[in-house]
Amino acid sequence: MIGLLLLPAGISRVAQVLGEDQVLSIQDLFSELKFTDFPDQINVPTLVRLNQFLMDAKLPEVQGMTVRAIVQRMLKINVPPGCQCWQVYNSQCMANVDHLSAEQRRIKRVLELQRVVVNCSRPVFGIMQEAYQEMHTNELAQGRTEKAKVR
Amino acid sequence: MLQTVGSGAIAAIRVGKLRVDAKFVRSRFSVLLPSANQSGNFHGFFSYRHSEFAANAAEAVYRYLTLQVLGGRDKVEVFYDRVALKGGLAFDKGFMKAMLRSMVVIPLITPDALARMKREESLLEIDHVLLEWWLALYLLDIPGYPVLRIAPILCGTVR
Repeated sequence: MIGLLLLPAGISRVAQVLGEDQVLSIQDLFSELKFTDFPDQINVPTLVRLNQFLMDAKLPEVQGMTVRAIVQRMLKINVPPGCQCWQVYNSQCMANVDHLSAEQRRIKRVLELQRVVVNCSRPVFGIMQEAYQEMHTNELAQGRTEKAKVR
Repeated sequence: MLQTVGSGAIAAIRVGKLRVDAKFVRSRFSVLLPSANQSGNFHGFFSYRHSEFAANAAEAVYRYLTLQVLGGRDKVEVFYDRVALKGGLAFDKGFMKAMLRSMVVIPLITPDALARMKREESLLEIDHVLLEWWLALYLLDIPGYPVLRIAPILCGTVR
């Protein structure tokens, strides 16, 4: 069994090879993904639990948000420019395989998976580095502001 | 054969006839060992629906990330519930507290994770993955909280 993870950066693919002889299709995930399939209702028990936690943490409570809205927002984060959502982007990725024979497609997928294994996790680390730098820049700026206030 | 010596905190490791002090091992190979994370702050936080595939995927990414160093000095600390959550703690409180101290949330978006969210009957109970996503989106909008990025990983199905 083979699993493929696809990261937002497009080239940033991650694979987890769990076995053999099965070909993964990321298309399955996206071809079935319609936002209208998700309930346009709030999951009230989850909202209650979240607000209970936020109250304990002395944070302002969260407003109700439907499951559909949460999924939509999550899936539109970091979407490459020019794409509406991941579904569009990923179908573009898979667009050029139609002219290939079944064997060529299989080889293409195997090669792609190898590349994917090599690239595993790097993009997540890249995002982490960006955030880390931003955090330190913020801390520095905050430090300067506090110093200025003391003066 | 590798054996640990001592009860509770490991004092030494026995490799065949050789007894190696645990402190030495920790200092010499710290970069290769899971972090004890004394500060309780995390650079990354994994959110995933518990299934064999997602757990294996999370673990693979976790292993890679925790060997990295940020800014030339800080070893990457990632919240991965199988490693970070201790028994006895309220599970959901444990992960939500950890997210308050995490810089990048990494949701593994799998068909399993989405399938449960699609079902109307699941609106009647707490969905922990939805809870994590909701909290992550909420914290992303609050200035001054450490969640600075969300980096979703989209996981395809196997056929």
